[in-house]
Amino acid sequence: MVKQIKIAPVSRIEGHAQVTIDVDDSGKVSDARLNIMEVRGFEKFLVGRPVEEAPRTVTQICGICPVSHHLAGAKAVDACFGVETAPTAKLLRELMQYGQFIHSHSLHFYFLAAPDFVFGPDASPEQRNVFGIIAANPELAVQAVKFRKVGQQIVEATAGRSISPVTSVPGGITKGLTQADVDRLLPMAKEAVEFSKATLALAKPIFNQYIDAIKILGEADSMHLGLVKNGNLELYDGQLRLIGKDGATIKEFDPKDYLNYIAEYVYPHSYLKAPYWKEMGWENGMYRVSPLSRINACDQISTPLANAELQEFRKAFGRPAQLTLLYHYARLIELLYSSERAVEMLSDPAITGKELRVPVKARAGTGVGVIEAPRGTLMHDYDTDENGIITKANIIVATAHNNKAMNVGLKNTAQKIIDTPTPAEGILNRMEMVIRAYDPCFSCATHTVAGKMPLEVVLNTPSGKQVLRR
Amino acid sequence: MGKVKVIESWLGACAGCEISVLDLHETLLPVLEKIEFAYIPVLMDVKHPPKATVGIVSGGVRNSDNLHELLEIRKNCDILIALGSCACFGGNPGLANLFTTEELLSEVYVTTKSTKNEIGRNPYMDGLPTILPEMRAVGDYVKVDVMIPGCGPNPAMIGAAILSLLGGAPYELSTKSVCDECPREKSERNLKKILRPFEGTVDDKKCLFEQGYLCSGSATRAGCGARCPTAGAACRGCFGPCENSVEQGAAMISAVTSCYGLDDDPNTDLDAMVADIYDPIGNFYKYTLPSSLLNKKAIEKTAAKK
Repeated sequence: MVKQIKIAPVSRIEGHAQVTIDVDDSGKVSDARLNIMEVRGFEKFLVGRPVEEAPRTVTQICGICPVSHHLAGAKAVDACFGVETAPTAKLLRELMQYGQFIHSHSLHFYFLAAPDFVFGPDASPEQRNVFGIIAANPELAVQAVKFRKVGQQIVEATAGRSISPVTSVPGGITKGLTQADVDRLLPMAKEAVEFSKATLALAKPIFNQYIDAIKILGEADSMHLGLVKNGNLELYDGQLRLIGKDGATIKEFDPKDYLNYIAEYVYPHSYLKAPYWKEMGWENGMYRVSPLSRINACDQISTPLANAELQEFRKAFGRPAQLTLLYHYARLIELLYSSERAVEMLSDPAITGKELRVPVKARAGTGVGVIEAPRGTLMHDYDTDENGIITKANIIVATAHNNKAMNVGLKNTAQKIIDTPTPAEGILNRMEMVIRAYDPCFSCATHTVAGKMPLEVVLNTPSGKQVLRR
Repeated sequence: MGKVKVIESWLGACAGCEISVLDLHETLLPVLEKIEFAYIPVLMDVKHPPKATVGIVSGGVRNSDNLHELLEIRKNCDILIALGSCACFGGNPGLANLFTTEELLSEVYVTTKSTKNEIGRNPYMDGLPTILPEMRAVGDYVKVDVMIPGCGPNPAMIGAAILSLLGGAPYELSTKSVCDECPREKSERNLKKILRPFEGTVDDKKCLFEQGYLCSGSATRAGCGARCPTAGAACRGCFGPCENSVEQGAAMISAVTSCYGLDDDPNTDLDAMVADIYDPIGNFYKYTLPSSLLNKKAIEKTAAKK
């Protein structure tokens, strides 16, 4: 008799999800699935709204990476209007992006993921969280708080506010940076480089300690997709590159042509769709996006410290690295890169330039804006009528690209680590760790209809009697 | 004295409210010496809300799971805080109320450009929650004791609300409007023409509304520090209606129409002037449609049709 184990809500992630595991009396797992619980319908209610308002509306898709949605939206709007973004505005938007990466990546590592590694996956749920870290190591906690604050201050200075950014307008940005802003932010960005180095120094030995778990959890060998510019890691602009399991480039293409290459499948068990590489079909077209995918896809990183980390990483894990828990490691390399780039940009006098806006005129058009969000490639696509009113919208978020891989990884992991219909809490937490590695954002994912993603486990007997709920 | 127990959860939300709490940065740490989170899925693996003094919910009620979670939180806490515009008013995703559930689902799962779903199947397995016909504010279902509006809410206000609860001091929202907090220079409210954000040349010092941009500052409760107009973007009203104002959107329509500089020329095309007020629902009800009279009117209409 097949029973269902439910982990609901999945916790220490953004948004609402549960895991369903089908298991028989002997403990044999036949399937495991990730259920995304919500959908909000942004693609529908954007229609009929002025397109320039979209970058201020899609920010409510996600409160953790609102900058990515704001910027992908702004790029799509500029493309709709057929304008090249004003030069200074382009720089400020890019800087905004690094501010967000510093905030989001440090948030994920210290506040969400680290407790599994600092206390171990079997520690009690009451301790295995950021409050546990604050109690156990207050100095580290203060450092983490300050680190994230650097990111949010860069975002506030460029976006007007840290949540729901507002400054990107068609062709540009509403406000520039003053020299006083730069004098305030540059030392912070330099501090972020030091924080990033310290975080890597702290994390690498811990990853090493958990290498066995890293090898077991979440196996989902796949192709990888990410933005590159001249072969370098790129977070704001550039070409999309898909690499195969052997590390060779399969395709490099202009993001505006994404529909030629990517299609979305509708799972019966999830409100989140699952994109795949069109040419290979749903069965074989699985790819991933994320920090790991990006550092797999690029040839090198343009900043020296992060590039040295990349080379060390490649020596240890190859290219492409496939182990899912290495997402954490890759995320920290990107944290260092984002901090270094923030320093570079704030040190460039062009950042206080005055070329903030170009004149634009409404027209009928189509605009695709693609950017790398902290969790991976993000795509916004709008069609407008001659007054610049949206007639059609399509949004593919990072977490969606990883949907199939998360499902595959969960099933593989469940079949390896579950051998009883009543697994221990620590075992179920390992299932959650698979999802957590992706830093999934189910609020993003559920832009389609409002979402929720805590994880809860319910274990029912075949007669429907509840034997475990946590 | 023991720590005050707090339970926090999100409903149909984006996590921005939770980030606002974290944006208290280091000032959050002393607060944590006085309160203890017993349940907060974004940060902790505890799976069910225990009894607590304070409950905080962000997000609106979009599906059956949201409603169930809200009722659990309400049942288990003494004081309920609605955090953010979605919880307080239904929020920006409440614009989905302009469409039926079938329209939303068909757009998302069948007709978007990249979707391949020839059989038109909607997700249904594993006890996925049921989508409710509408996004609703938390107060439509349960008693709310404290509202902290904003998208995202102002971190300082969150800190003040929590500390005032601990000290028993009353926490009150501002009775002023965003205009009262806005540093832009105001003179005469005489609109010649409505401009979209990309039209005209923006004067960085002067009131955006007076320049012709649809800025909702005058119809919106203060408390944000006028962050958007300060950064050069018009207010879209995320703090909701002003004190004693029933309808934020109506207040804005009234503000615009009463400031139109009408001349005595009988040939003035009044219809064209009205048509210039583009997307009034999106602009004036961006965060409050679910709790507006407009929404209630629409429900009555739909009911009458059936």
